[in-house]
This record gives sequence, structure tokens and C-alpha cells, in this order.
Amino acid sequence: MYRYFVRQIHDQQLAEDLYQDTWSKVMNAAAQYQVKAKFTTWLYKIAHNLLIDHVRVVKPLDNISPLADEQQMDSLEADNLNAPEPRLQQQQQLNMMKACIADLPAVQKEAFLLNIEMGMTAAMISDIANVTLEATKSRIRYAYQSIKQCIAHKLQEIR
Amino acid sequence: MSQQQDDAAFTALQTEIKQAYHQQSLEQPSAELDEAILAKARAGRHVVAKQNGATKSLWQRNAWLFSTAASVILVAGLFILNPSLQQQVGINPEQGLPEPQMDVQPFDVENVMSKSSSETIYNAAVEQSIVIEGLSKRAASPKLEQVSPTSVSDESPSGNTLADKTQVQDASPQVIEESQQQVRAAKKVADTEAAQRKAALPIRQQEKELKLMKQQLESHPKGTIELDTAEVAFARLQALMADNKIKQAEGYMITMEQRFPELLSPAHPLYEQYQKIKVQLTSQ
Repeated sequence: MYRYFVRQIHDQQLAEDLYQDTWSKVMNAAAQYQVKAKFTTWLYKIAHNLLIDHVRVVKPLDNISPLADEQQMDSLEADNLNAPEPRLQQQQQLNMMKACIADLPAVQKEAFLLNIEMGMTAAMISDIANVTLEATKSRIRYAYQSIKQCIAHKLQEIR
Repeated sequence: MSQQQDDAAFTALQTEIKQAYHQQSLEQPSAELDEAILAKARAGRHVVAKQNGATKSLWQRNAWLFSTAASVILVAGLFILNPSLQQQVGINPEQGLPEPQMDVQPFDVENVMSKSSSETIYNAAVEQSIVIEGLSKRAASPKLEQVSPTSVSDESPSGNTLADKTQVQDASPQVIEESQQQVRAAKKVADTEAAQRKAALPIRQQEKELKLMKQQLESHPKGTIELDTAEVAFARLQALMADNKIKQAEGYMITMEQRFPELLSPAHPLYEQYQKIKVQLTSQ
């Protein structure tokens, strides 16, 4: 849940506050929790509502960028530029993925994070976000495709 | 087909990105942040416990104690107010002691009544034997004495006047033997019944039976057969006729026919005598 806030807000302090507020609400509302409902669904509903209340507009993040990696690449010797190590390449792709996730629209980003972090199905995500199942499926599908295209585009730019 | 291909492609894409995603270092909350949340949770739990403890009243805290005391009081009250419960448990309601056994402290009335009832049966059997002996003597003598019902005195039909009020005209040896056997059997039955009553029945049941026997002895309901044999019943019928209690005799006769249908058979030894009495009653 910490990464759920961090990846969407990109403000670590605010993310920590919301993370703490979510747990406070869980403690206060523990008596109202119905056993028939799944706990993770109930928990992320609280987190989702807090996120909506505090962050109305999510800006595409420029903070997380592959600049550091590019700077690392620049620091390498010239004879190694044409054959980067596999580890560096992998790290580079991971950083690109992080940046591409940050570039996703807010609703797609949320659906993607819940799916990839918690393994939630489209039905559970639709229940948390209070949208239809078809809309959730579309968001998840577009998120993955956008990330793939974004990474491929970034790789082309590097080359 | 295209939909399936799209789904397959998406599944492959999803798997690839998931694998890549989980290879990266993932952000984790700081230890201070987690500790702050846990401390808050502990503080909230103490507050809730205090609130729950403060709201409990004296009754709720000692619920089991009060419920146990109430149950004991209820059961004791039921026993005090309802003596029959004590008797069922086996406690003497007057003295608070277990009830005595059935063979201890028999009532005097019971002894008298059981004795008198057995004696009544025994006396009837003895007198019948006396009658039969008398008959046999008379049969042996050349003269036969006939006693008519009109010459008999108007005494109550107790067992002592049966010998004087007999109306037997002809007595065969077979009849005598059968009657003697029946008398002996009646004696045995009377003895065994008296012994069984004393030994087997509890005191209260004996009281009830004694009351019933009193009623039976005191009252003479019409048509009630008190003895078990046809001969004894016939003797009673004769006694009623001797006392000139025609209506009672009529009712008794009807009941006798129902109880002892063998009296209507010509093969029965008392058939002729019974028919004579029947003719007398129907002609009146």
C-alpha cells in the first residue's frame, strides 16, 4: 500500500501521510468491518478514497527519469559504449518502466498498480474504484500496452 | 479468433511486464513510520478496552454469580411450595426425611380392612362348604327338607345366614365334589391375595384399595358381581331372593348371565336351580 501511494503521488511526504491516515481509518472503522467483505478490498477502498480526496490532479512526473542512468552511461569509458553490460541494460529498462508508469493517466496507473502489486482481478479493482467491470478491464489493458510502447520508444531514443 | 489472439498477446505482455516490474527494487515504508502506526494501534486498543470495562455494570461483571444464586433460590422455592416434588424425590414433607419403606409402619385401618376382606371371602367359602356338607347329609337321609324363600327371616345377606337360606332340593355327589374343590381354591386365592396385598403394594396404593373395598362392602350396587365363581354368585342370588329383594335379584341375574354364560347351558350343575329362580323372577 505504501508503493500504491508513492507511485501515484510522487510526493514521498504526502504518500507517507496518506499511508498513515489509511491505517488510522482502518483502526477506527474496525468495528464496522463486515467479515463477509474481503479485507484487502475494504482496505484499498479506504486508500482510494483518501487518494481522491487529497490528489485531484496528478501531474506527469518528471522527477523520476533515466537521467541518472544516462549519466552513469556517460561516465563509462568510450570503448564500452557500443556494448553495454547486460546488468546496466536491465537496470536501464527498469528505470524506463518506472518512468513510463509515472506517465500513465491516473486511473490507468491506479488500476495497473493494484493489479501488479496486489494481484487483484478486474472485478476487485472495479469494486474499489467504483467503476464498471468493463471500464476497469480497459484501463488495465491500456496501462500495460502504454508501458510497453513507452519503453520501446525510450529504447529507440537511446539508440 | 482475433479476440483469442488479442487475449493471448495481452497475457504474454502482462507476464513480461510483471516479471520486469518485480525485478526492480521496490520502495518500502521506513521503520519509524511502521512503528508510529503500531503505537497508534496499541493506544487505540487500550482505550477501547477501558471503555468496554467502564461500561460493564455490577450485574454484568458478576452475571454468573447472580444467575447461579437465582437458580438455587428458584429450585428451593419450588420444593418448599410444592410438596409433591419432595415426594417424587423421596423426601417426607412433614419431617424432611426420606419416606419410610412400604413394609414399615402399616396403618391399623389397612390391617383391619385387609383382614376383614379376606375373612369375608374365607367365611363365604367356609359356609358354602358347610352347606355342601349339610346337603350331603340330607341326601344320605331319607327325608329331604325343603326350605322356601318365604319362611326365611328378613336378615341382611351377610355370610352367617347362608346356611339357613339355601334352596337346594337335589344334590349329587359330583356337584358336592366340584363345590368342595372350588371352596378350597377360593380359600387359597383369598389367602394368597391377602398376602400379596400386604407385601407388594405401597402404603398409598393400599389406602386407595382399602377405600374402594370399603365402598364395595358398604354399598350393594345392582347387578355387581363381587365374587368370581358362578356358585358364589348363585348363592348371592339366592340370598337376595330370600331377602325378598326382587329388583336387585333381577339385576343381579342379568349380570350373572353376562358374567357366567355357562349357567344357561343345561350341562351346568346349577342350570336347573338357576332356571327355577329365573322363572320366579320373571313371573313376578
